[in-house]
Amino acid sequence: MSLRQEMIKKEHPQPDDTRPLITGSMKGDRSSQYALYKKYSKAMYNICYRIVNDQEEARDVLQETFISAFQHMGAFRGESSFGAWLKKIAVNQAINHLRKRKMLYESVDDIEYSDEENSPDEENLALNVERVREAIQQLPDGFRTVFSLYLLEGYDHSEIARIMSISESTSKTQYIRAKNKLKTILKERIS
Amino acid sequence: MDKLEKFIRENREEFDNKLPGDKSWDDIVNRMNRQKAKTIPITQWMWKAASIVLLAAVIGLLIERYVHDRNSVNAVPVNPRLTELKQVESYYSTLISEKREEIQAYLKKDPDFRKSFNHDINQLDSMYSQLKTELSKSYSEKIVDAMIVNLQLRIKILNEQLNILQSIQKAKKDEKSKV
Repeated sequence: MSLRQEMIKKEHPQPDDTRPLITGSMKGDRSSQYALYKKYSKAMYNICYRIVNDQEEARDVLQETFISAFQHMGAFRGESSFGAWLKKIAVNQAINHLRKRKMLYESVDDIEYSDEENSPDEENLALNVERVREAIQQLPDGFRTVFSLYLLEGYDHSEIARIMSISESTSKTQYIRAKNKLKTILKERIS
Repeated sequence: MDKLEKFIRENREEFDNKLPGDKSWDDIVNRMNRQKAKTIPITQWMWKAASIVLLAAVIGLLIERYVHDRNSVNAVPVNPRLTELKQVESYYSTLISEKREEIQAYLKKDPDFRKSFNHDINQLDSMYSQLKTELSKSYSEKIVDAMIVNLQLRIKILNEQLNILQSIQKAKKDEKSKV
């Protein structure tokens, strides 16, 4: 088992304690719904925030995610963990928001490729979580989404391709470019 | 996996540092309640509309079927004599009712005469309806002929009556002017 798969496994433990909450939520029981919200809202909020890159909008997406989940609880077949199912909804909602915004403001921010082709050397890359977090949020929308879906949410490129309606190879190149851009940002900040 | 990827994966938990805030759950509940309140009347309204549409469709189909049935009943006897009779009948009946009205205007002044006249005409009327019921039971050329003769006869009688009445009227007028 690869480290990646192990990580995914750790991220989605088979949730036996969520089962009664799911059945309760399906019947519209508010306390079950609240318990699920308590359990998953933080993770979902961070996913949404990383994609839409705006607190207010992320909160909106989070609400939509839970409302949509509670309303379509019957569609949850238990093929994946509840968390993974919820995450898919959150990611889709967030990407929809991003698309809507893009249509409104016509941002063309993922076209500047030039310096992302060559990987900057990592030797003197002083890493700390907060700085990396900030740097991720500085990435253009497309880069940031692919990057966080792959590295932080653990989706593979074929899944990302499906979610974002792009080709698998686009997902791969976007990821590499995003990673290089990220390193450049981190280096700039040091110097 | 390079240094950056490794670092991020090892510190994955720390990347989820943001909190949605307490208000979010209340907003979710409010939005769900609002949606519920909105959807209930809409669905009720839709059910109502749907049942009205269904009812209208059923009535429409029933009417169509009824009309269709009637048409097909009428269409069964394709005998040209019967269609001819129908045309003749409608032609004469309008003529007859016209003449009758004209005569009635004269007869208002003469109740005795009206009695005998009505008697004759009514007899022909009842004869005609008898013929008609017989014809509906079994078709016969003779009955059709008799019916047409009946109609013609009534017209003839009415015309003669009218002539008589007109001449009487004229005679009365002449008498008056003489005096």
